[in-house]
Amino acid sequence: MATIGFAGYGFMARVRRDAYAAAGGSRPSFAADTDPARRAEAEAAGMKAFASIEEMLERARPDVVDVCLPTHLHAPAVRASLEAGAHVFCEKPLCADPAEARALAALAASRGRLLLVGHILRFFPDYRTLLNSYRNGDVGSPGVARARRLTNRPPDSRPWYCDDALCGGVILDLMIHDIDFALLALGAPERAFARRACDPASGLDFALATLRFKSGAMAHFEACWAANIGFRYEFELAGDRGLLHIDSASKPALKTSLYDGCSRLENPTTKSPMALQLEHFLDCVENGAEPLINADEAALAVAAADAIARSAREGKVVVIET
Amino acid sequence: MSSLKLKAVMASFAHPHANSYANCLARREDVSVCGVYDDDAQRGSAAAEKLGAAYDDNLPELLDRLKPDFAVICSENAAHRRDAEACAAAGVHALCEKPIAHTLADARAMMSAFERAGRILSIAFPVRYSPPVARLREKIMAGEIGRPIAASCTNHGRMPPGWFLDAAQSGGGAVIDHTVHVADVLRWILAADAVEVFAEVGNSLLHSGLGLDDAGLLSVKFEGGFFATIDTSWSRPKSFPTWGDVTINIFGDAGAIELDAFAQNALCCDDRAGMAVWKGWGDNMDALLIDDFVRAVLAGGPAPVPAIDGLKALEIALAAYESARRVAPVSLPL
Repeated sequence: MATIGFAGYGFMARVRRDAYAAAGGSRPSFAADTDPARRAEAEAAGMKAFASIEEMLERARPDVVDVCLPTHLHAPAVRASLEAGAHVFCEKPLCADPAEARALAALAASRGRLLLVGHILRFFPDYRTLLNSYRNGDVGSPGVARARRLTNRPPDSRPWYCDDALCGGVILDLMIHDIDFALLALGAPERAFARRACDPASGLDFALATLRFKSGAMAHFEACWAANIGFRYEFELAGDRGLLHIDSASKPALKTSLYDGCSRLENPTTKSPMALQLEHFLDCVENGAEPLINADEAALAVAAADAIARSAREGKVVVIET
Repeated sequence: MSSLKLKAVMASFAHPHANSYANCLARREDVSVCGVYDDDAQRGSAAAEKLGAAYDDNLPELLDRLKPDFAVICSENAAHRRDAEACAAAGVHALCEKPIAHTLADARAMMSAFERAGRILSIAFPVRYSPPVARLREKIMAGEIGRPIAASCTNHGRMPPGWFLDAAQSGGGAVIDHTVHVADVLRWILAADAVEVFAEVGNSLLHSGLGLDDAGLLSVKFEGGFFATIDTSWSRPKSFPTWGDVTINIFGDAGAIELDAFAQNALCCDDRAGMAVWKGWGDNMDALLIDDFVRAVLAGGPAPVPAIDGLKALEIALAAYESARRVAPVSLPL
């Protein structure tokens, strides 16, 4: 059994704590956070808490550090953990800067440690089914991929989300899910073009992007953060022989409609994608399983997201260096 | 009574929409489809026989003989100008299938021919007549989602057959075929023109060996900063449950609306076909388009969808090709 420590004990760490429990294997026994209230919360959940990552690494020497920090703090935490000899689970995106992402992947390789980034679509049953069908040749040669992702704005209680410099906005934080999945399916990207609207008054952060791949295939991305927009995703892959399409809104197993006007669609499964992801990550650490995502892929997703964000800022086509 | 009927000529059945338009006209008691022109004698005479109309392989002669009130032009894109100029010369109003033409020069020539003749030239953009699309426009104009900011749009389809795949007759593939519907609806809803277009265009990407563009992702910026993408790809395989789609997901500063213009359908699984199909139950937008055009002819104008709107939509498609050639955004007007 691996020993695990959280770097950061905020919202995502609490989600992942519950997912570790649902996965049924090793559970985190340490947590590092600068906030005393969060340290108290971690202690209450049965973990030993530290005021800094460095202190946790030195005193607890966890086998795995699970990085659940705001994006701008990922890189130093990942680097410190790898240098201390720990494997790393890191929430997506790996970091905001493509060069730094490549350096972290290289550091993990040179230290012989796993750097597993939480690109969770790879663990969603519908996306996995789509990918398997595609790899089975069901659509033939791929041509056009389309991805949509709409979700409610992160709450103001997590202010770093509202600062582009800290989280990268809707492209680096949200669209990157679909970027990673498109890269997984379509291979090396060639260039990006994008436009983005940020409306501070309403909180809308909306981006439309295209990627062209070296194979000639292309992908379209739509990502939206807005108040009360609800959660919705779609992914479609058209090839020269067929088409695959998944949609979070189609035929939900459960639709709950409350009399106050709110409605909710659900598709329950025995294990959440997050639990499946952690189960797999632990399988890689404890049993040497082949990772379903490697650090180079995570770095490439950062490079593509950065190119998209740059294109949106500059209004130009941005060539992606791979 | 029959002498009081409007007389209509179908100018070619090259575009399959001609069948639908002819049926919609034939259903009206105040219209008589009296003539069919087609340079394909077999296709034209078969259609004429079904409609009980005269057939001719020469449009100017047919117009001169029958002296119709209006014509519906459904020839190949590159033949629109020839047929439209024949109508204008004969003093006949015309409804022209989209795109208005395959070049801006042709489109401008058509516009000025009808201006000189004092006749109506209207463009067949049936999507404007879809009740969900019309309702979307009302909601946007009423400010329901506040200031419109951006939209993600599609007009997918299956790969069409025949002359659509011959660039000399069509002007191009999926991009010229499918850009114009959504481009027109966006211009119509926003009352704004496009100012910049970037496009990724794919040749033979979905249909190996096609030798023509069959995939397109357009990024279009409008006056005032509104931006949109339009996916024009012929990406619906033969086994897709319907011909294609028109979707517009539009975001404003107070809300968002998701439009799927053909969502009004029933799933139909047919073991004989070996596939599932969607059967539409919404209004027939072609019939609404034809009715509005006939109304305009009776009123003596103006054109319900002015030719300039056809030209402006075509310009966005042509800018997409230019952008793909340059791998850079292209400013409009061209």
